Amino acid sequence: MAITVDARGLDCPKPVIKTKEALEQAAGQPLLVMVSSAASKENVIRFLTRNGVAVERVEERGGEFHIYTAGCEGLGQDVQPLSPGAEPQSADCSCNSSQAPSWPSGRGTVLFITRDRIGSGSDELGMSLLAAFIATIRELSAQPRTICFMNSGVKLTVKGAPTLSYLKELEEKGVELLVCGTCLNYFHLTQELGVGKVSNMYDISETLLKSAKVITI
Amino acid sequence: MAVYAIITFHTTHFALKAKKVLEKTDQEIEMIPVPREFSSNCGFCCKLPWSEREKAERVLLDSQVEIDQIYRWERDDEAEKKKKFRFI
Repeated sequence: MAITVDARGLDCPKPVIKTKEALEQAAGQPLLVMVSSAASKENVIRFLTRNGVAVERVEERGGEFHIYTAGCEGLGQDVQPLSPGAEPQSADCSCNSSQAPSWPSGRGTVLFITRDRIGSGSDELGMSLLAAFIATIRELSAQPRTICFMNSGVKLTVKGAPTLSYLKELEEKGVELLVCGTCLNYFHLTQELGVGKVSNMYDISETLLKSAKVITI
Repeated sequence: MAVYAIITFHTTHFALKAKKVLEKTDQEIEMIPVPREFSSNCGFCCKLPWSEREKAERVLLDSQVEIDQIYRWERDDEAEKKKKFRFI
């Protein structure tokens, strides 16, 4: 039986807060979250996905959105705010590696792309390497949950970039692409964004801190 | 099923030069790492529609870019996109 969260008519961020409370109280149980705006729907889905809860389906009914999650074991503890010493995993957890993957203090792998090229030495080579890197990632069997773009890294996400089609494929697969809005603005590229969501320092910082592994380019 | 030409080069310099030269001719090309089925070396190659290969070859020869090999690569792009993957 699913736990129902009725957040219809509530403004952001209340639907997310109610969803978070429900996850904490009803760990492991499937949720049905009802919201009445597309923005709330996106925010709730993003929150769930980020906390490792798979969204099974979303139904739209007369302007309302019903978001159904799959079974979500043990999530209650992960959505609680991290406090010093509250590390849920101990060293002996590594023995359980044959079971479901465990993330010591966060979830998933995040790619943090802070420039438009890999390494230094040759800009031409560096840019080609980065495009090839993104092209290759989309073909691998293991993919990052989120890619964050900052500084000149945002140039990979704009119209005309050689990486645009690769990133679109990744986004279609469910990889979250967070693009720094301040950086787009700085490079006068806000109108040129071709893929991903315009994001901010709060979202990006939180994503980095909550992940198990960050790979920075 | 899409059919591509994979053009490989003896050096990275030639690969990068090929990209520059071909981009100027409005050819639809992609620079990608050489697919594993053709070489285990770390290298770039140009990927373009199979039908464009002769034009590309001519342009590259005119620009003194030495080509190593041209391979035929058949690929089901849609199936590739739907391949199973997991988030790590």
